[in-house]
Amino acid sequence: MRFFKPHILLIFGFITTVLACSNEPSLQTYYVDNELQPGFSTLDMPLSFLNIEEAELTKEEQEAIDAVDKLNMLSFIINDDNREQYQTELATVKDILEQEDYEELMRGGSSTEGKFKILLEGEEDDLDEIILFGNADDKGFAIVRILGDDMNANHLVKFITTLDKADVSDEKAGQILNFFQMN
Amino acid sequence: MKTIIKTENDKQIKIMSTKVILFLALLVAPIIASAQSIFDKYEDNPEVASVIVNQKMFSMIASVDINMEDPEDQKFMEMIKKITGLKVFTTGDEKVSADMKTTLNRYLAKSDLEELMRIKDEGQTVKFYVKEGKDENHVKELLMFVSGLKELTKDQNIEISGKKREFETVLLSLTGDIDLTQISKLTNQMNIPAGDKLEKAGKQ
Repeated sequence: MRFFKPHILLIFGFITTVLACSNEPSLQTYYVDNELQPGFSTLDMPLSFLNIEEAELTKEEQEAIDAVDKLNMLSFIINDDNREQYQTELATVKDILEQEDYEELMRGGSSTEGKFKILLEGEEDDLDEIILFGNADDKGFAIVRILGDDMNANHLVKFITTLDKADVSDEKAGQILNFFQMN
Repeated sequence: MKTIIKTENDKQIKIMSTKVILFLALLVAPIIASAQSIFDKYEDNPEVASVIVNQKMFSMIASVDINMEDPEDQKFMEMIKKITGLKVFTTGDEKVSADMKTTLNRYLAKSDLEELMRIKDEGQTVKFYVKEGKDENHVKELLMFVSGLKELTKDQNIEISGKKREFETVLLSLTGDIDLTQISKLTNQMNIPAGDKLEKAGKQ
């Protein structure tokens, strides 16, 4: 009987960890829960949207594009009625981004004019997600996610330079692109 | 026979010492990881603009395949890999500037930083502090403090997020295993305010 005890403890520990994890909201669940809520707007952009002429791409650029699946954005715009909601939503998002799954690359800005954060999820050579988060207390906040499969730093650099070749007619998508190119 | 015993003993000692090191590393790691810099409070100050770059970012940059035939570039990448953090705080507010100066002095008093050089030029003062590293070209920490920039940047158009800035004070801290001879290249790449001052640190 004594022999079993440590195992039982271990299993118990494992179960509680799993339960604890599944209770934490991820960025994905936050998206799904809020995309239809008032104040929020979302934009899902498959890469075909970019209208990149595939023939013009070099092999590396093609690889980079293939590694990235899609871009999506969730934003919350402040108006006169939802200032309080902004604060609570901002706190929720910040909490999610504090989770261990997300590793912060850099952050900056100022609290008056807005702050930004760049985070990633996954291993260095096998990135699942790059997250750009920005907020300004007079405008709102936005989360842009670059979702992919086995992305690495090379792909990203190439991807961002390839965006120059993109031909986007949609105004909103154009805004996302400007956001990237600004950085 | 004797030699066999000796090597076995050595082996055991080796294993023991690795265990001790591992244990110590595990013990110390969370302390280091959670070590908050004395300057972090400025991040939430409305008068301060900041940039904080973590180690992961530097290791990502270093993992990008750039055509590196030039041995100088390789050296530079080697240094990037060893940087553990970069923090820059800038402010145009006089009160915050004064407060930053006090905090800096408090930090200098309790850490092993020593002054590397000081430049005074038309009301503008640039001070460099370093924490000694493995040899004379390497430092563990490089701290730059620029004050009195206002006069200098008044006529220039420095824009950050679309708004004209006048810097009063810039505080920059770089940690890791830093090769002073490579430092100017880093600032050239990163477009840090008053980065040209940093170049001088490597050239003395």
